[in-house]
Amino acid sequence: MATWSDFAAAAPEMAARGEWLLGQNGGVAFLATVRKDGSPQLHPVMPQLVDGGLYVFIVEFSSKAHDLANRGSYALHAIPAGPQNEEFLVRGRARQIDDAAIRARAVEVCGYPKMDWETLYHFDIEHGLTTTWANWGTVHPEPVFRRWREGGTVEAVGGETTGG
Amino acid sequence: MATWAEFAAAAPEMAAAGRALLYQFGPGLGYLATVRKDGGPRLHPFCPTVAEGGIFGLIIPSPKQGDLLRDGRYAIHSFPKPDSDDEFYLAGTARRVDDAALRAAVLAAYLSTGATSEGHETFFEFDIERALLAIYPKRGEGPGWPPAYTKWRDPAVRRRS
Repeated sequence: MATWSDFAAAAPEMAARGEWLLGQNGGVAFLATVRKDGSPQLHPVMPQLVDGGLYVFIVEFSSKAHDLANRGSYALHAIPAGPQNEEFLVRGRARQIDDAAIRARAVEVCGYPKMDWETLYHFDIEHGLTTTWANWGTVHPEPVFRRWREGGTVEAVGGETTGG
Repeated sequence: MATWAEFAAAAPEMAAAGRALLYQFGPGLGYLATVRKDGGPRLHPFCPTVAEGGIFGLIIPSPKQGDLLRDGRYAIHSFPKPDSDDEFYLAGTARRVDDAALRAAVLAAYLSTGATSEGHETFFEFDIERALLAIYPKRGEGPGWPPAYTKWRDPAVRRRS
């Protein structure tokens, strides 16, 4: 699967908007995972970009950590921001990082200490989506999607049936 | 599973705080997580509407509409407040609403908040199995974690393994 830097090489404008959006609202984004019984769950997290990878520290005894250990699949959505409420989403699989050097770098970039029970996950990226709006501020705003899938190129698509 | 009215009757303060979080920006606003055909999660913002004793979503033709028609299981989370990280969370199962009178009443409530409709949405009611409210100090005022949690579970639903 692709790292953030792979995604950014293939879709630089999308990645730039994504990096900006993930940095807004105090760095909070929303993480969806799937429980053991197949139902979704949803929590705020603070993702960070470190040396070309997308990482999240997750409390090891939390239900979302169990989900990532069991299934690994995730969807991460930035809080919409900017004058036209741009949106950014990535999906893929997360994997636990036990490498002490990578963890040390993530703690350094994070800027404050992390507890032993905060496990570092790397988020591999299968799919990215940005949403901007045509006719924003009118009663009929139209979403404009840019979509990237691993191994492909950016598709710019309008219309409501093509979102992620 | 419980309707919003049943949840609010059982946990009125929690429902009031949750409703305020969902409506903090005018029209209802939250995140909706659904399950894709491949079993992975899908996640998008949407506009929930609390009306007529239920919580509803008007969902345009889209992948998440397909998820809800196929599976129905959902999770909803409020957006953060500008000055705190308070959270409101619901999980359960959505079901399609075909009752024309109910749809008209929900649509009227939705439009009254300033939200707009394309006129071809499918209406879903979100039946509630579990709810969670987390109240944090304002940012910059004391330790931010752990928050004060309030949890509610529909007593009619057997506890999951």
